[in-house]
Amino acid sequence: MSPFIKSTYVSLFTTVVIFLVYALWVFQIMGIGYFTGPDELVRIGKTIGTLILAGWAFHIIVVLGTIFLDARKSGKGMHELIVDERDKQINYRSMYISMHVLCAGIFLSIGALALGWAPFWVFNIIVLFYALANMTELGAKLFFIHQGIRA
Amino acid sequence: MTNLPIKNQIRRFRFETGEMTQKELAARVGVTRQTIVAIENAKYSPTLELAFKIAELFNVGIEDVFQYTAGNDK
Repeated sequence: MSPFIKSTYVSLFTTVVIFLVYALWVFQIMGIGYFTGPDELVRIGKTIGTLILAGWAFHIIVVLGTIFLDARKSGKGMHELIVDERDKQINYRSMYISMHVLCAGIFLSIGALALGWAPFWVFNIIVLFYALANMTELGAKLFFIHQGIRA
Repeated sequence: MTNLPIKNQIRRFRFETGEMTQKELAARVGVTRQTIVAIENAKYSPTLELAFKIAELFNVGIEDVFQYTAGNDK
């Protein structure tokens, strides 16, 4: 399995873990009630900020660690770690597809805002669709890797 | 996946060029082995630059390595 494929599977795993932990933290541990009241925007902001920073750190460490450990174990040279033209084409097409999912989430959250929904739900619609967009991108990558890609 | 309209003889030329492996070919043209595999299996059409690099490596013309089959272009 190439580093590109491996990193895609690992990214899928880290995405699921990060957003599951976020959902558990927000809905179970802290509870929806924590995100109401006069400080609701500050609390929502801090929670999402922590999600972004901690999530990225976890994702980068796990993905890079997996790739380098695998490269060391299998004796693959640095050449195998390059992102070549086909990888870039797969990346661009996958991002293009996931962009539509993310945009749908943004429009839905704007709609929710217009309907007067609480800020907690408006922000979490964006978080949900960001998670879906990530998984869509990674799923599209795996599809193009296995089924082939055409310019 | 619809068949790509570009066929190739890369495997044949690899064997004729000192039984070059996919890995060696990939390293010499600057792509990953998976890309060479995908090209040989008609799951990816290379860029013009890459196609010329491959043909130049085998010391043949680009038309000898890659053939365009218009009927498959869907």
